[in-house]
Amino acid sequence: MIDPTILTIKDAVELIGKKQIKAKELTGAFLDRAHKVNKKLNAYYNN
Amino acid sequence: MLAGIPAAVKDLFSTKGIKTTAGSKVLENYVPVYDATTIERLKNAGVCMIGKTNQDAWGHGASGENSDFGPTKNPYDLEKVPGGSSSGSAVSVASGASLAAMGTDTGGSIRLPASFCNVIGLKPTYGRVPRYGVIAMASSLDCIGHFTKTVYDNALVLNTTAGEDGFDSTTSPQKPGDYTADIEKGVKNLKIGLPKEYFEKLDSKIKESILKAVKTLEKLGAKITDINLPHTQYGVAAYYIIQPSEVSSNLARYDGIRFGEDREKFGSEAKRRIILGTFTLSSGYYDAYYLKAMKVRRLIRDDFVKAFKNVDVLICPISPTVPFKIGEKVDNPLQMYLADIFTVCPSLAGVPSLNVPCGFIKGLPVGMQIIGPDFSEGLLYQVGYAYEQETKWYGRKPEFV
Repeated sequence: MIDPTILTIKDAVELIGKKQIKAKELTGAFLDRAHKVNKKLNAYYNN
Repeated sequence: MLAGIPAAVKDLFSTKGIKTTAGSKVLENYVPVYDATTIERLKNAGVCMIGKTNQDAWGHGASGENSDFGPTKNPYDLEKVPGGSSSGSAVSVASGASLAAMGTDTGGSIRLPASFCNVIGLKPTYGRVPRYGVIAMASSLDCIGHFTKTVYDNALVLNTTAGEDGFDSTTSPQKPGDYTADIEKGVKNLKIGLPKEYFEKLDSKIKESILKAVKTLEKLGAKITDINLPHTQYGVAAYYIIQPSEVSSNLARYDGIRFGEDREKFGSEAKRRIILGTFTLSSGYYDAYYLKAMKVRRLIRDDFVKAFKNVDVLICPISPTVPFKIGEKVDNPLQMYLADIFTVCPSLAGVPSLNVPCGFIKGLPVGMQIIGPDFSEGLLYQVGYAYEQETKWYGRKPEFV
């Protein structure tokens, strides 16, 4: 399966429309990425 | 159209039931009871909000270091700044931790971090996207915009957020339309102006990157011409009178009674702007500073209006430097203010401006600024898209990620 975090919005909308990816999976992938990188980048708040 | 798309939100946007700090400990425990209009529109479109992003406190900063919750780092080099004030939003998109992020731009706060992080960032026309529910920095300058990986994606987000709002009387009644409709039209016979004043003392490598991008557009059929914006040199001086004046007025509400914690929690940059702004608005000095700066603002806007009688869009740099080292400028506010030198004039004029990545210098991103007349966001996307299709800089991910 393709890594959802490399998609563009246009791609993601298309894949959701074709039911090739679920919105939940997409959001989950981005949340995982955010958790992984945030310790070093401090881009997100954790409160 | 955006159902299921994960997006991040700068912590300046009020989010119902979710802490909104503006990057300041003054609002450390503030939980809004309503959503900003932009947030409401995105939620209605089905966007999934995945987090609030770090920022320079109150939007005061060009580097992303002035947050009470620690600096954000540039994913292309962890020792460098990501640009500010919408630092976390730019970084979230650049690092693949969101598909879109919301930001605000008063004097460059979207365009600068977008340029430092190799992402698309739009500052729309003043009044294009509602400000209701966004913590105000300088109300006559604040614009709501978006970060995305690609130009097309940015247009999709603006399709959702743009348009008149009954809660914000400064929004335009002009209907926004579909920003993707003409995006593939290309640049054949479009007239692009290069404002001489923006290239005069520019770093040679940055100049080279931007002129190379202009050459690409010329090959695609655009007509390139030099142009003058003669009052550009007064931009930073006028901006750093008008903006602190409005900041001092807006921050007066955080008195520890109506909103927020003890005023002692204001950081030194906020205090500096409150003092400056209170001074320039005070009796006896108002005419000499604020009024004069507003007159200069009109001259700067007139420069742009005149320029757009001869060209369709302008292209110029976003930043005089590539991302600099964390800590390098924190003790020198004047140096930090000069980071805004190329972004404040479009802000003062209220015209839209788009950052499009145009290369790398020693592994660090460079962006160019495409500026157009009022409500020409569709045209800016058209030019940006044409260039992006030729270069696809968004494909170059940070090694760290």
